[in-house]
Amino acid sequence: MDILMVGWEFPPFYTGGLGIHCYHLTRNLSSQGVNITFLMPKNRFHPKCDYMKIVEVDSSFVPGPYASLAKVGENYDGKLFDNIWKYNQLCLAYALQEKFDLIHCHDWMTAIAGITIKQATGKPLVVTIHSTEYDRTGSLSPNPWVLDRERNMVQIADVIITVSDAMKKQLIERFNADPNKIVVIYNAIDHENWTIQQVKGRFPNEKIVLFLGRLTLQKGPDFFLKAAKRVLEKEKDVTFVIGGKGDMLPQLIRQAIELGISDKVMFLGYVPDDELPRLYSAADVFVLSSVSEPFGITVLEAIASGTPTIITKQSGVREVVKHAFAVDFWDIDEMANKILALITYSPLYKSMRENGKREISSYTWDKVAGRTIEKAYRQVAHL
Amino acid sequence: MSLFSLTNTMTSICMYFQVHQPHRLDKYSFFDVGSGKSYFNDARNKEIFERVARKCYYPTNETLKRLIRETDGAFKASFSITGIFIEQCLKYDPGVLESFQQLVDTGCVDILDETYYHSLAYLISKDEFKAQVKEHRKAIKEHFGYKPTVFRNTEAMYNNELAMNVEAMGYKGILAEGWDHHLGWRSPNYVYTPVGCSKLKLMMRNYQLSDDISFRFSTYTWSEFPLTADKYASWLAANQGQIINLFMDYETFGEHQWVETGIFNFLDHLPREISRYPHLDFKTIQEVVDSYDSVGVIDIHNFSSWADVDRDLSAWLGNEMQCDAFNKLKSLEEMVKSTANKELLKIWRKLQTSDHLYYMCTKWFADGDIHKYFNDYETPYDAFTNFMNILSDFKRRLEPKAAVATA
Repeated sequence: MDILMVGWEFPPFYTGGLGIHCYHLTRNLSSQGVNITFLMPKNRFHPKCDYMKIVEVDSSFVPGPYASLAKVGENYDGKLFDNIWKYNQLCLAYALQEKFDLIHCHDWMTAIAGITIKQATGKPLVVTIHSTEYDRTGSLSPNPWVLDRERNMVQIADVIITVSDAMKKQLIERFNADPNKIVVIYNAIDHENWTIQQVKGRFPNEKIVLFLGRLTLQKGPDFFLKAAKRVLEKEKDVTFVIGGKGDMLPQLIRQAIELGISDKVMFLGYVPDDELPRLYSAADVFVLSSVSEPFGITVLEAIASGTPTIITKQSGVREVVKHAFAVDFWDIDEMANKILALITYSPLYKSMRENGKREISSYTWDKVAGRTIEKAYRQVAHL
Repeated sequence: MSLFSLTNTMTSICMYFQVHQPHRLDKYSFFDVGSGKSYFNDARNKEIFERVARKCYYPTNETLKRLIRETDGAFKASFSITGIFIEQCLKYDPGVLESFQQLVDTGCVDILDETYYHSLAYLISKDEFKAQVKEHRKAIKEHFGYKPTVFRNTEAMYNNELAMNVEAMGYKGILAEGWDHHLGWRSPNYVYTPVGCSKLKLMMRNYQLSDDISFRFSTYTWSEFPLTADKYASWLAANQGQIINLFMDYETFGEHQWVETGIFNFLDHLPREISRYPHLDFKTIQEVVDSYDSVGVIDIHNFSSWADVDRDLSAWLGNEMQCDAFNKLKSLEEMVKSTANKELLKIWRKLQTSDHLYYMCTKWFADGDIHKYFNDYETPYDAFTNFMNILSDFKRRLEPKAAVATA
């Protein structure tokens, strides 16, 4: 089976979950006998990969999927969309010289390439939707051009893979997608990378509550801070750690000062990959406060690291993880109530920690790849 | 007498129904601790009570009354009705209680004793257990003018030691689960004697035939679906023994098995179908105790119950959270009693109701459906958190009063 995958980023360089997803997916597809050619825009970091052919398409450097949030005329001067267009054209030119059984592309940045290659070659198109413009903007002024790419992609694709049932529903409601074409394949983690770490030097008498994600409206870090304030009214010895960077950082620092909890909040900034396992393990509670979250892979990472989690009811990961607390993102008091419960009642902490780890052990990339072959590829390409 | 019962070819159908509703807890946040907010969700309890009354208690009571009338008293049944159920009758709809009273007044229905609060009081202390049984006896005497002689512990939780205590309290009979593990080659269709007891008679649930009604009745993937009264009567007729113990929650009728499943038609036709077999009759549990002699001794050392596939205490005390919640509640006994404060004692006992622990059960994956159906909480973790927040508040109310009492 020969797959032409139109990607966007690949380790070592990535800005979001898409790069990691593509790495694990292709690696496991490859070990299950799928032959992949992976297209991606050329960047300063060159990916190393021994199991598939990576073609770095030379369009000038373009930023990640969240770039549409940048105000046109400010940072990118409208060049982003030109570059994306150029990347997609170059992908098409490349594809016309190649032999493959189907095209698989991811999210809106690769939509044009996927569609035009399908139209030029008549090969079936599989698309994976990791997030939509509505998710990334919290539905506040989504970019209409991006929405058009997403709508087109969803309507023309032969099979659509979504990372949650909530995403499937969203595509049906917002883009009028055909439900019969959609298959839900949940994300996974590489369990070898995420184990409970012994963390030395953590504050002995202090509980740690962790947020990890881009500091954007979508991730709800402002709700996390408001909940922190409520927790600290009841319990002084708690530190709230915020990992990640994003455009809300100045606002969040100001918010922590205004709430009078700046001495209890730590902003870590960008956290390198190799420090994440220790960070998760050091935390007593992990909070995913997202306003909108197609999946939420950090939750699996936290649980695998032995940290009980509180997730929002607006997250796709909720469909997978039952051994966790779920709250509405706006329900600050309930989020605080649950943080307090986890740091106060040790049998609760222990039960959720043990049951959670057992529960997610079956979510492996190996199974994601297997399902992708069975439920997506074999549905459209008779191989 | 002994010779007679062994040669007696009659088999008695013994239908026993458990009637219970817990006082469900209100949502209690960490931020409510110390607020003086009430622990019990009156609106929710009223809503559920009225719904179950409409779907189950009224129509099933009417059906049973009619069956007793139509069979000239040949149809019989036994009930245990928890004290906190009676409280909710009085609070939300006394008509439900009257309906049960009319049923008892037919003389074809007897009532069993149990813990007033449907609790695990036996595991708290013998004193507490006896106090709750006594309170239940008083309530049954008051509302039904009836003195039970047979005992059933909460959810049929049972072991040898409990049986000995119950015998010492003057009871003539006790119920337990007829689990293969305890019966071995023996059949649940006989009266037994618990190890260490001399007179107490043990009646064990025929779980196969009981669950055919209470669990499988509407399961369309079951090979025997649909279950009709004539087919079921033929199964009963094919059983050998003194008795066939069909023990189940009363809410099976109309609440667990909805009216649309045909459960009421089934119940309606059952006595008539059974009457086609001359060797079958109905008896109340008290009549069984009076009519049949024990055929052997049963040894159950570890606690058994009628819940889940495990038939042990793991539905209530199966994980760390449940044990912690129970032990914390248990540890307050002395302090609560030292205050001699009736209101605090009442609250402490209402918190003992087994349902609160059941909601914290994490055995989802094997037989979780049942747990989920009866559960107001999204997860067992929510149930535990809510309970512990309430307990924190309760301790704050309790401690100053206990300090005064001991000063």
